[in-house]
Amino acid sequence: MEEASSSNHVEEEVITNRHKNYTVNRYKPKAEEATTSDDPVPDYMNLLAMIFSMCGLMLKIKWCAWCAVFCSLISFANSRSSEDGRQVLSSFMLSISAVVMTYLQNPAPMTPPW
Amino acid sequence: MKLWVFVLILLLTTFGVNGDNRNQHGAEIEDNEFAEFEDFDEDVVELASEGDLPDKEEPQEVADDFQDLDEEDEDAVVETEEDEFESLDPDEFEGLPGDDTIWENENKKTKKKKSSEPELKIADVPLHLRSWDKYYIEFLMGAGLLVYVVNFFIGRAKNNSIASTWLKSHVDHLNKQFELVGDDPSNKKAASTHQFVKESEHLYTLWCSGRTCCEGMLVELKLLKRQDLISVISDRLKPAVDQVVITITLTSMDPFVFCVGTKKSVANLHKNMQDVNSFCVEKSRGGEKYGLSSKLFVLSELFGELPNAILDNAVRKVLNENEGVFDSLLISDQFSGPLLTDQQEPTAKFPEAEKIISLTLNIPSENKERKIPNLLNLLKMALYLTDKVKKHRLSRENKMKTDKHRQEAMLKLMKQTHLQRQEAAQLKKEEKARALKDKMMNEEDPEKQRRMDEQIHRRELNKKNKKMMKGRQFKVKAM
Repeated sequence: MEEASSSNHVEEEVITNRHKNYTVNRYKPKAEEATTSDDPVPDYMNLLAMIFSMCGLMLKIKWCAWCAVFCSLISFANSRSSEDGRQVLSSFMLSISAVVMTYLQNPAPMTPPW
Repeated sequence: MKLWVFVLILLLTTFGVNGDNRNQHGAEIEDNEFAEFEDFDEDVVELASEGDLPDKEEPQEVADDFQDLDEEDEDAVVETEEDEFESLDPDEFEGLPGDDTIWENENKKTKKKKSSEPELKIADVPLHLRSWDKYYIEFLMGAGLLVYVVNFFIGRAKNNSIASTWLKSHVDHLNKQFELVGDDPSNKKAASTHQFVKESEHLYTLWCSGRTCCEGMLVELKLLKRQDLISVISDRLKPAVDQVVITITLTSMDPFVFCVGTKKSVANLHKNMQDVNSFCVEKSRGGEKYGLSSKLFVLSELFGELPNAILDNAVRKVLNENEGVFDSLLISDQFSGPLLTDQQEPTAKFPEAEKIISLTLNIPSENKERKIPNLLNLLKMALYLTDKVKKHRLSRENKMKTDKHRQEAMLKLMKQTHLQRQEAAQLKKEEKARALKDKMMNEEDPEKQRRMDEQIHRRELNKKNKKMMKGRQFKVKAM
């Protein structure tokens, strides 16, 4: 079997110390695909937040708008540091705008289904 | 309707008073359609003056007549005063004295009515006087959001404290073992940061490098999602623990796959890991056979000398002392990550394999600050195994067995990906032929073009001949 090269660790800077006989390798983070497959929750929640926001805005359904706010918060809480924060922020602002618009159009309180 | 009734009454009275067509003055009245109206006013005056008013009984009779009339003349169209005067042109009566026509009078009346009607004003009730009780669902939603946000900050702080506690208790030993402790990928130069890299609010990583026998060591703190309220609730229902995963990448080792751990973790490794699933075919054995606790199980590619060589006295001592914290230990020269699911297609190439030692530990849920420093012994054990595995040599028999296993695995993969590789080869050939044709077409020199065209034609003929020869050979063999 051929020795496989290491996939995770790129030798961008190799310090060879002849006395100690070792190399210092830099850290290479995992690929984005691997991280998304590990934890898909933030992506799903982001998508749900957008869907609920659209439903709340277009169909003027108040509970949809509130659900969008919750979903965007959950997505933010579970998001990875490597992800772009602008997407999460835009999703959050969209959900807030959905809540505001639904109440401006119809200031009446929400009624429970029962 | 009333007019007709009145007329009828009049008729009756006139015929009763005057037997012939004579008025009160004895003058003859012409018998025409207007005759009955000629003495209209005089008859009414007579009736009024003579007191010849109908008695009380008569109104009842009249009323009865009215009722009868009403019933008989339901379909009849009765002209009222309003209908009569609608067709008349109002302009005819302009300038005439008393030009208070009916419709103008009515217009005046409606205008007066409108002006007399009061305008309705809806009072603007101030916000603070409205009933806020009806907005209870909104208040509940707001409270839920507030609770989530507060939990986020508390959970984040707690995870942060666990990571910093682990780092404080382990950094000194790491500094002695590695030249680079903590690497920030965004930095251009390799400099020790002595800090975790925060992948997310529940995942911290620390990379160490610069040691003999290993390329590097990655420490991952996989903590619970304390910052997410829903995860907190689900963790209460289905208990989960914080984990520390230490992965050491080796420079070289003899070929074998070996793992030891709790029953659940060993089963999980066999089910989910590519290398363990492919090479550890035999059933797992109890840990008591190797001087370990009965709760631990051993799964190896080679049983016999190998487990005893790995699990020496020092390793056994540490594992037995830290039984509650130890989850699993995997030593493999063919580590390639998780097993491919059905949805994922196997790639044509053999997956890139790494030589690793992976140690998984469970951080205790209670008294974390006191128990986390005890994990240092297990880290030391992992580094001790790094040196041991590099120096360990398999016997000749065992090495032949492991090499045979790897060849079989390679053949199996080749069969699975045969179709894919065939398609890839076909595509390559087609691309080559296309490139050659394009080159021939773009050639300016006609002689060269002709020669290239001949070359292509000869190649195609040769291919066809070869196919025909193969077909004939098969036929001969079959015969």
